[in-house]
Amino acid sequence: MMTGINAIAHVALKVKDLDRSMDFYVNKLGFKEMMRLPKPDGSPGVWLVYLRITDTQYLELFPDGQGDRAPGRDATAINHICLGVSDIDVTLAHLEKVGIPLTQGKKMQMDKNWQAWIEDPDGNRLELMQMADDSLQFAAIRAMGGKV
Amino acid sequence: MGIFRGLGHLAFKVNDLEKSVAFYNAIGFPEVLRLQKPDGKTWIVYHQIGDDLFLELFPGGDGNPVPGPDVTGVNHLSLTVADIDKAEKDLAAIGIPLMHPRNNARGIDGNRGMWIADPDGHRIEIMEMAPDCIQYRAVANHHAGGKPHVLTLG
Repeated sequence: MMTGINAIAHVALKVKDLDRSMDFYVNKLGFKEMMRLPKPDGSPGVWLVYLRITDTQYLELFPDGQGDRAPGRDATAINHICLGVSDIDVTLAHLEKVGIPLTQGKKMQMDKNWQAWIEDPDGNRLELMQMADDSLQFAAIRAMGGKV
Repeated sequence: MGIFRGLGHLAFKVNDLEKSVAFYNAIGFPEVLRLQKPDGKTWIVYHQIGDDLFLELFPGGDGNPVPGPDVTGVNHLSLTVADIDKAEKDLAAIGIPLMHPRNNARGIDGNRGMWIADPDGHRIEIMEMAPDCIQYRAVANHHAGGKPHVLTLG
């Protein structure tokens, strides 16, 4: 590609309560903490924590968010984050076990993928998606010569 | 392994759909799919990042710029490049300015980076990840069964 931009390396969240977010993303969703960095100016507290989604995709958590809730679904902003899953039933069973309620239950959307929705402690919307081999997205990628 | 395969997509609520479509096309993420409502209006435009990673653009933003950097919520996203010098030239050639002049020194994480903003003001960090950057070393440590790294700067 012309600009050489080729992947999402991380998504960064500004969080209200770091411990609460760590409990959600690490203890409940199972992302592992990779490392944490202290504040560059030497003041007390954490600057950011890196969580591993995959070996090359990370979630950054920055504490001290202003405001109790992430912007609502109609605000001009990043609207939601979608996490891919291999088997949505396995994922939903796990979420039930750890006590994360679904904000929308399992449903096959018009793109032919299974999806369900949860919210993180700050109200960031997370979509869980099991991509189907014959999904509209993969069909479009194949039509462009992509390999999926 | 965890219960997730990885990121599937990121979705943006945008103020001016065609402006955002043009921006993401220009930086190398082509539109691959557009879903329309029965009335012919656009519901979602998909841009390809990787073969199984997408950006979704939803029209109908509230008209405001995106929330500032201190607000609770998604703060920024980061895109990787193989060669940041080339990426800076390529972005200049298509008229996309950097948010701040680039400091060519490596950051404390060992990587070189720069920032651009999309038409609604979404902050995008562009990173050339160094093979020995602290993130990759932390991942290697994770696979070796080590405890998370805590680094002191300075």
